[in-house]
Amino acid sequence: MSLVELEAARKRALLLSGVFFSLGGALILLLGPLGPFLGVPLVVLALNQISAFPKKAKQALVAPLAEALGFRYWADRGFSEEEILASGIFHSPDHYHAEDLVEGEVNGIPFTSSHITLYRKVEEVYEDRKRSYYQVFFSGVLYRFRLPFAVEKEVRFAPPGSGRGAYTNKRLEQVVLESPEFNLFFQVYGEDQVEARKLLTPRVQEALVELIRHLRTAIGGAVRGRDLWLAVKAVKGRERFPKPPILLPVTWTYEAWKARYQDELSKASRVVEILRLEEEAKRRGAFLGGSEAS
Amino acid sequence: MLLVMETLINFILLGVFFLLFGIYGIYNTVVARKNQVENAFGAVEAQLKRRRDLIPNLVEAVKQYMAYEQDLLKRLTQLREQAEKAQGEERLKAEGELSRVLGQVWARLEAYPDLKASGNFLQLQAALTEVEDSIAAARRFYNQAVTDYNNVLEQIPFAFIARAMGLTRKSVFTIPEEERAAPNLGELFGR
Repeated sequence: MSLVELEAARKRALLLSGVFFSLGGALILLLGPLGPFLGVPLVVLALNQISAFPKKAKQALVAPLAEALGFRYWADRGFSEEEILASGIFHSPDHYHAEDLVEGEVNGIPFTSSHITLYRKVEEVYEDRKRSYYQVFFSGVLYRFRLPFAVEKEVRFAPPGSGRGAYTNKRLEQVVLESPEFNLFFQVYGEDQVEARKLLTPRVQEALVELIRHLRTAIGGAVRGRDLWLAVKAVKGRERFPKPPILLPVTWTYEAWKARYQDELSKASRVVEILRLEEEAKRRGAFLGGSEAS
Repeated sequence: MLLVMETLINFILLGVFFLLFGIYGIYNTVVARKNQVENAFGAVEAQLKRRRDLIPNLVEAVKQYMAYEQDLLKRLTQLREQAEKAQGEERLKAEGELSRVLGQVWARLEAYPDLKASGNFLQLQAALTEVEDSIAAARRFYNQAVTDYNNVLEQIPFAFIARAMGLTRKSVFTIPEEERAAPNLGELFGR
């Protein structure tokens, strides 16, 4: 969908929502008891127009930018709950939401990323009344990189103070590494002390610290088998791909946000670059016609 | 008076209980650190064994191609056997020498492009690279374990228990003097 077509769709959505609101409101005010039965559905339709457009616009604006980088993007898809739990980084949520799925390959390393919001149910008693609500315990982007080499034993790293967190694997033991700077940002757990150190060499420790400085937020991660999972906490109040508002012309918002969309889409490439995953794969002989030496 | 005496005795007993509990905790910490050092050394030994086990395969894979390096390959085999039979310091010395000779073999490979194109050799090279990474990681684990152990030996109150157990400082793995020096490229490339 071109910008011109999108702008036309925006105007159409605005017009329709205006008509439905006005009509719905008039029916509610003028038709007495019957009014809400006829008016409320129209108001709902109006709200639907207002909420549907930004999602549609986000898909239309971000997808071409993703394609230009050789990636694929879906605004309304994300990791499933099984995939989120497969990372082993998070506790099982009571409710979750996932969106902004990006899939692609960087220097021969396939990746998938999605914004996820995980909620836990909180029940409390206040003045003899029980109430429950959902509290966010993680909001951010989850990346999965499919490594061309396998890591035999599980290794996990998270901000200090996380403890064992969601690490349900009882074989995990704490691994204390040499770099004081790395230890400021991460606490490491691994199934094997040697394998954990083989993965988290001084160079990789330095790279992870550089990654945190580049992304300017907390990171947690896990490596198991051929999957490297990275959970990047969202900066408060900042959406991964902000939805274009319906009230502003699309061309204005596109120009203002194109750089931000591109920057967000390039993060996976930056991760591969900073962690030098391709180099690591070559060094391990992982690009030898698909077979890895045993 | 009796109440005062009873309170005093209770305090003393409580104090003795906490002291014994403290000694129990300190003793366990010292033992855990000591065992971790042994565990880490075992990990290093296991990785060195893996490397020794790969060397016959390496010699077999390269000897047909590296016709002019027979002395080097012979030395490699001898060192491997030496390291296999030796114990303690002698073994570490032999392993260090083995690392150095392996480095020479990799350097000389540049002169044999046919060998570098062999799939079998490339897989073997990847396996040896992985083992060298494991050895490096195991040495880092050992050094961390020794550092923690030495810290416990010298920190109060652990030092008292450690001395009573007859424990002494251990040395970390260091790079041998010959590896610290700048490489002699002439010797490395056999010129």
